[in-house]
Amino acid sequence: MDPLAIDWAALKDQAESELQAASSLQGVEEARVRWLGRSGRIALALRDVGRLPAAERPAAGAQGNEVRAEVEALVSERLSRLEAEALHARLAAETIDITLPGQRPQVGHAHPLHQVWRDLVRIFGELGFAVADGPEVETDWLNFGALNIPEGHPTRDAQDSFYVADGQLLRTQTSPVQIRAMQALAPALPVRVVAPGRVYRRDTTDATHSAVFHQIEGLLVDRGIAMSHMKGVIAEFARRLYGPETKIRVRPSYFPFTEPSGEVDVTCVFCHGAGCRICKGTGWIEIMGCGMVHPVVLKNGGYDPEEVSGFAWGMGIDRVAQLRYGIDDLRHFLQNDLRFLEQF
Amino acid sequence: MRVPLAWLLEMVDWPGDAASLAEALTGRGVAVEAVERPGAGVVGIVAARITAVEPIAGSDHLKRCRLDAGPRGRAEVVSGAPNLAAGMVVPWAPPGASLPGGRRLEAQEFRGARSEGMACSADEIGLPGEHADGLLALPADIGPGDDLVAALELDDPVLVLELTPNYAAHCQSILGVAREVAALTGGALRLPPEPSPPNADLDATHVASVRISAPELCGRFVALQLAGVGTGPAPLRVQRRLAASGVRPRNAIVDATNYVMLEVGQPLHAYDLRDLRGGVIGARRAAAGEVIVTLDGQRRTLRADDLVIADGERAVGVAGVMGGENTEVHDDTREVLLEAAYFAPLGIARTARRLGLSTAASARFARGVDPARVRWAADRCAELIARWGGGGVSAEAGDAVTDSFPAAPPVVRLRGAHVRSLIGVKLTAAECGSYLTGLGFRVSADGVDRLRVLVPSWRGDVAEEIDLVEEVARAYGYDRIPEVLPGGAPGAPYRDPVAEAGEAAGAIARAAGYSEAVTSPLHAVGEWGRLRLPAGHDLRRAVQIQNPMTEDQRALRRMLVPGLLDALGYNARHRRVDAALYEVGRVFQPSGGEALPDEPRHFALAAAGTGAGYLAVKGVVEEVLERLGWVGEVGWERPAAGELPFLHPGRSAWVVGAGGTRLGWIGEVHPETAAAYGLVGAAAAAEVDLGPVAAGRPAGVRFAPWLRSPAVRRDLAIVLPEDVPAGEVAVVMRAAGGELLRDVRLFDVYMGEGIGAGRRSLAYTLVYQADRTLTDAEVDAAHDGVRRALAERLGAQLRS
Ligand SMILES: [Zn+2]
Repeated sequence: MDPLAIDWAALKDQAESELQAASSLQGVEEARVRWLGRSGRIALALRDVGRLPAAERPAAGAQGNEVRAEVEALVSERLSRLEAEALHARLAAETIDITLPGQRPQVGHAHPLHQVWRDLVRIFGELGFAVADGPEVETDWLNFGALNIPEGHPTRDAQDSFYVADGQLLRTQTSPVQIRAMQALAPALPVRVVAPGRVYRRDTTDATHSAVFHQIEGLLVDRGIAMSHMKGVIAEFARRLYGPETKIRVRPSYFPFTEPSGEVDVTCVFCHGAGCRICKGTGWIEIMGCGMVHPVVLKNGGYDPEEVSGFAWGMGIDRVAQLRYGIDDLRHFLQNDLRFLEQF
Repeated sequence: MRVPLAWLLEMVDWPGDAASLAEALTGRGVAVEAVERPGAGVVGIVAARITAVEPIAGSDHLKRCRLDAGPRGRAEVVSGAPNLAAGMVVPWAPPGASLPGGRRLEAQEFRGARSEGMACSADEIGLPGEHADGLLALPADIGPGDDLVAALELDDPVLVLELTPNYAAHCQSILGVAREVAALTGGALRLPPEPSPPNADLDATHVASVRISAPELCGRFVALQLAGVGTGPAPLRVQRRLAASGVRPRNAIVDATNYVMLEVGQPLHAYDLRDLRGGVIGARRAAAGEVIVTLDGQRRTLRADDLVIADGERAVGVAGVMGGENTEVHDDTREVLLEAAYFAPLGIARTARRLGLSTAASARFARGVDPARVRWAADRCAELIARWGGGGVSAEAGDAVTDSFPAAPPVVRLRGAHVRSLIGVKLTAAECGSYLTGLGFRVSADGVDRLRVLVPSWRGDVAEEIDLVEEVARAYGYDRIPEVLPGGAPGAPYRDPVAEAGEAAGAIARAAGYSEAVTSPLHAVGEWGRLRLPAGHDLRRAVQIQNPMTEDQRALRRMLVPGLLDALGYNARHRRVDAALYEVGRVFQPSGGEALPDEPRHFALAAAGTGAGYLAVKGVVEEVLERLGWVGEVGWERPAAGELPFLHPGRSAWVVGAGGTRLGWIGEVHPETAAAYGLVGAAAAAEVDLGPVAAGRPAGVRFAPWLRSPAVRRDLAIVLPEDVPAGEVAVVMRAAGGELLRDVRLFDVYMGEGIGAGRRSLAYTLVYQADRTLTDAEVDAAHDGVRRALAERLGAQLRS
């Protein structure tokens, strides 16, 4: 063999075995400098090409460049391999106990009464009823008289109402908002409102009674409104609140401000009508009172009962919340015990 | 109202059982709350005559009784009853029979004597009476072998009605409920027999006349006089019906008045004629302060708007509510004055309510009794007293009628079209008519699609066309009315910016860790003491409750925070010291005049325990105000002494909006107030009025693109007297920095060594930026301007 000839294959084999032997990123770097650096062995060998006879130089140069490219590829392959191993090792070392508890942000809870309140307003909003409002301190005319509850009527009893002045009391029902809403809109049609709000009864507080509680009242007045529409709206509401399988039953009842009047039962949300402890075995749960707006009330609202008719309903928000969450004691609602609030 | 089923079925047929009747009645508005079965389980009790009573060796109280039960055979039982006597007819529960509750009888041995079942006392078979009285001696109309379960209705169920006020008028009687059943089935009604009028000729009458001196309160007063009344008790079956109806049997006279009341709804009262004075009885207004002792032994003080029954000298009863003790009927009463009357319903309701005395009589009079049954009931009762007591004759002492007695029942017109449009069902006038006829109304045609309807005497609650629509609807059946969603336009648009502001504030508070509270708006006057409000402080000016039930219902709140502090104290007592609550709610501000109070809606926060402090609460309030559109327009003003006495004087502020409007306040809670609410550690609170907050809110949010040119940050530290507020420093810097100064961030506050007493160091990062890349020279010029202004205007010493 020509003493000047360069053994490119041997150089490549040697570089390859050194790179394979390097087990760290630093070792690979050192091997790279040794082989591919400015005075590395491949550079030196390429310089030696100049000493070859002119006829051999091109082939030897090409061969050298080829080997250099191969070694460069080897270096980068080796580097990425080791980086991958290093990453893998780091991730393995970072393994944690995934069952440790999460770091919970301190987030407040919405009161269950208001969660239900917002739900009811949303559902009636979907059915085309806007929110109407009225004061909690009300005139006894709007709380009673305008609602066809005459002087001397048992529900007017001062024993049941908190009075703050002559002719002024804490409203005992959200129904006065019916009159306010009609008076605000008359003679425009339709009146389609719901009035959620706080009401007061002069009652001893215990697990099932509260002096302060919450109702939602609804009213639709338009031309040609019938009991069938009342049943339609209430049934649709019940399905949206309690699920599509829910059925309603309306039984005759009595309220001074509606006639005909009814009590509405829904199929028990717990046993779906089979009968359970909550529904006392009947399969039905009473949820609201309703009725066709009494002609006297329409007149007091500014409408002619010969021209328009309407229906109204009212229900206890506290009661809906009690049923939804299984709350057996009304006192929880105003106690604000965080052990209670944080469950919702 | 309690309805023994057998009594009801005496007047009307029902094809099903008690449960199906209860469901059908409830569907028609006569709500049956429960079906009780007081005698459930009773089987096989028969009547038997005691033919012999013999001692049992070795026992001084047990006796062997030989029984003859006629067709049911003969037997022996052992009994320890005190009233055993040969010849008595007693209830016998033979082996195989069972008692109410289901206890089954067997043959047993007592001291060697065989006992085939047992002889029973009244209470053992479910009749009113005491066990200690001994065996029940059955009356002569019951013979040996008779089936007592059937004869005495021992297993009869009772329907318990929960009547709404409109049905209470006509359904507080067996007859009234029977009418509803007849309307349901279309079946015939079997009315109680017509009584014969009193016809005795009693000369020696003690009562000469009936006098009504309050005709507006008493419409009719019938007085019958009964003489020679016998001493027998009411029949056992009557006693059982009374007991099942919730009325304790007494004697034939009282039982007859109660029986007729339950039968037809007309209350009656019997007076012992020996005790009536002055030859007159009637109704008059009570004298103010007049006292009467009622039958329950209570002294009742009356008012001039109460009606009393009075003889010639004194009140003998509170009209329509309860009789007087002074004329009570006793077991030895032989001469009776029987009263049946019609009283103005509202007057009875008022008196009963005021006296807190709701009786079976007042519950009926207050709803209006059937005017057509007043006289009838008196005659019927007199007849029953004579029949049950075993003798007696009656005569009319008087029957006075006044203008307040309901005249002929009204005639009401009903339009078929009106019924259809209100119910939403295609009913003809004729169909409406047949429903009404079934309920006892008399109907005739009144032109096309119109009816003329005569209301029956017992339906005093029906006076208008709408009342008839209701009757048709419930007779048709609410359950048959279809469910139809109404068409028509949607409701008027509605926005409530204050409510929306409350929702937005609540969402931020929850995100900041505050839970939503709902507190009672009613509070005790002691609240003002806990808040350290001196007499005359504006926040003591509250809407007051005139008739609270408890001390904690004296006044309506002016602020939400006290309720929140109370709730924090409650939680602290239950070992939850670190707590944060918010509330959105109304407060009440007296109008000062006749007008209703103002009811502004507030948003309030309160926090206790770790981290609760002025700045923590302020940060939430700033976040809320910024969300609601108050960007950079809110000021914080130190309250004057005593303005907010429940807050730390050095760590509290008014929140002031543009134009100086006070939006609310924030602060740490004064230690004395905190302690009064049971809070030991730090507590802070804030309250804002959502009205002005929402009113000041700009129309909406506008997107502002950020600058793409680089921002230049320069730090700055200054030393100032400690009473120069950071807020003022920021104002000076912003004014001097002009448009290029985009942001000022305070990152350090230091007091102490190297600064000097009464001074503090404030360190800021100032951010300069414009819509172009700023040169160093431009930034230097602006920053130097800021430094100069701080030195010149505030005397700040520049540290860097
Ligand atoms: Zn159920």
